[in-house]
Amino acid sequence: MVEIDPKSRFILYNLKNGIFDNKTFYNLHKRAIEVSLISTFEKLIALDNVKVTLFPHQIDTAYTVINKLKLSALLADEVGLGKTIEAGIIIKELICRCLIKKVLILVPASLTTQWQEELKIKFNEDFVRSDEFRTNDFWSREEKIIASIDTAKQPRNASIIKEINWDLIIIDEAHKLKNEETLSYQFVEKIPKKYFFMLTATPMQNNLKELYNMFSLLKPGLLGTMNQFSNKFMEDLRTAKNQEDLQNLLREVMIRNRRKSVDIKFPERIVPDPIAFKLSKEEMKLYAELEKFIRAHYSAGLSLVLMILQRVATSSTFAIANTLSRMIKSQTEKKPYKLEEGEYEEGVVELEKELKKVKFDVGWLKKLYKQAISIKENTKGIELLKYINKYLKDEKILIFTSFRKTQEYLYKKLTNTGYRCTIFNGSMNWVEKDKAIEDFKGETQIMISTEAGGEGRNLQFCHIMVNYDLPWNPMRIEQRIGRIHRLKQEHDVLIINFSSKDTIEEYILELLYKKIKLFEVVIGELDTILSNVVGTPQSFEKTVIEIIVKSKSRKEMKNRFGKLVLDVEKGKKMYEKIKKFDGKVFEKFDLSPIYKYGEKK
Amino acid sequence: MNELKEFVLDYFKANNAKILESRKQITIQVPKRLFTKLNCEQILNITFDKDLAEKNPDIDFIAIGSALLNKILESCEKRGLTVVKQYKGKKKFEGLEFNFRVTFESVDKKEKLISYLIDLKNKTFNDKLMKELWKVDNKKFNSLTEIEEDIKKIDKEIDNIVYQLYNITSEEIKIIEEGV
Repeated sequence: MVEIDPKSRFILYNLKNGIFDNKTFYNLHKRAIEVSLISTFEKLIALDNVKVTLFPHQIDTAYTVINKLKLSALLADEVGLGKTIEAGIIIKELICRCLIKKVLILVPASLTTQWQEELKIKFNEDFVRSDEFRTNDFWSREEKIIASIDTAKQPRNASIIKEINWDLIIIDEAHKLKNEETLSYQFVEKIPKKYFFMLTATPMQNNLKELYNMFSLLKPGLLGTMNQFSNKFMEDLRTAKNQEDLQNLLREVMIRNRRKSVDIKFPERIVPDPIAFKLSKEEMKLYAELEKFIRAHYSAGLSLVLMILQRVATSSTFAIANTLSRMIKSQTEKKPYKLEEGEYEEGVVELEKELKKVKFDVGWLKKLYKQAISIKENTKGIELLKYINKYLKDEKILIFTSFRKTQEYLYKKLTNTGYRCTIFNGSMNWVEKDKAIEDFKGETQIMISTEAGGEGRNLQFCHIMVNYDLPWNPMRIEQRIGRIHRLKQEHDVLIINFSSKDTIEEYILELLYKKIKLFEVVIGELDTILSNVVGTPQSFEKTVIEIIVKSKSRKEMKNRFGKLVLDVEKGKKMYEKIKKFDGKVFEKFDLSPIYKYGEKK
Repeated sequence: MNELKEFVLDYFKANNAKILESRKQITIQVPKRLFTKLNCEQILNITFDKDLAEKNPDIDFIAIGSALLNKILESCEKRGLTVVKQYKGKKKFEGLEFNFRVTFESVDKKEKLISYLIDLKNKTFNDKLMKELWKVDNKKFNSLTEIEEDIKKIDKEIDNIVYQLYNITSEEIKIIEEGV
């Protein structure tokens, strides 16, 4: 196909009407087009505009995709090597060269914010998330979109998306498209697209048929028909034959960097036993009363609201008081409860639905509130200060809490003791956030941060983090750790947790820390493991809250947690199996980038 | 990136901007009409040197992809579509010139600039489009005839416009087309 650029049609109009320009502007025009059409990709112009230090394998990958793989590729680096960055370079390059306008990135719901932040911070590209909008014309109106694949494939969205000619489609965690009979697969197959990338760390999950399916999405003709493919390349479902031919074919569409061939050292994670402490009598009383309240109000379809209460309970009495007072206000004034930072993670829509119909015993709420404000000091805060005084007096420390009120409390407490602290949270704009990070990099010793909007920012100059409270979604914890435990971290990373005796926090920590070994899992593996257990990582926290509210006694709760632990262990085993299989199939394959950037082809 | 620098400075010169070049930076006083169009400051401090820009955050770094350059490119592409020029070579003639931007699919999807030159006196024209496209590794085209037909269609369209423009009779057209 040869197409004239629509703008060039004006030329015909001008010719027809005898409109001619002078020579200066004609020449400028010509040069302008030449500048924007630099016809070879020998130099990646995006590299000048990237705000993060890149590793050679990332540049080589982007370079090979652009020059050799015809801009349709499967990026299948092993976990932690920066697939997102590679995709980012390619996106930026194509945007810089005005080759793409409409871009759609489809990712699991838990990763949309992270993608958005990374593209903004590292590549200065503004993408919008589909969950930021509720109107339907959004898909055609916005140019650069990040959406969860589950949202996108809903019929009302899918029908619009399929009508748009996309310049670039990117699918993260593409192994989820291994089955051609699923809705997701058929949806992605039908999206009109010029360029197409899929990202996954585990292209091979169970058998070679899945591999065939994924590649058929990418390049329908590459592997022939299923029959041809199985005759030529499959010994049986799980063993490949004619490996060299297969490798050569795959090299046309796939790049896989491996940890052992890429010379990068990952820092260790050191997780000492959690700091154990006992709540004061008043705190314990409040805690027990809250638990009672939660159980009493549980009914099916009302778990997320209660989860807010249960989660602030593990943070601080100040956070509890704040949430309670706002709940009282919304109940007495009959106005919907307005969510604050930390009170929700994913699934806001669902939560808002619950909030509309929730009816609490206001008298009870008030009683709890009085109890909470009467407590002026928190044992956990005292323990934290003691620990810092004793072990971390001169170290840079990153303290995480989910809630603003707890953050305020810690800031006051630590500053009053003489520590220099910085705050980082979701209410701050880009400039304030940048400044906070600069301060922390400079003279400030401690940064107290909520989760909001921090992913993708480099804090690797600090290597100690404290989880003052824990999000129940393990992916969130992983993201916290990821802020300091990253490729360029030179020190081993120290992760400090708290465990208050006889509270739910203790169970959860036990579950995450001892059983899932959350703090030791390789970056990027967690999502897959959890998906094997509970479907999606988000439903993990729902599972947890259900255990808490449905159990009639502590003993029952313990048993139910025990079962969850078993499920998780099963999930891990399943994952190990997949990884082993994946490794086996690709073991002998060399799928590293064909071109090296800067070397002549 | 010298070419880029020359291009940007020529652009500002053509638009009557005052340019002051020092060792550290290039200062440009942008005329009012232009700075609204480019959506930029009235006084611009720019450089084409990345290291320099990194040391001086108040100087704008201009490279392919930067916002200012994109605006400049955009504004350039709106003007200067067609021009009448004097040509001097073996034969002198007055020519009508214009550029088409075409996208074509080969191994890599590519775009290219194709110059058309029409000799006004002899009413003949030199269609580079065809030649340029054939230069591209044509063995790798999916379907040759398809491409050929596409080019023919575009050619025909231009032909008709030119014939109309210069009131060329159908008899004359015959002569021209046989000549080509």
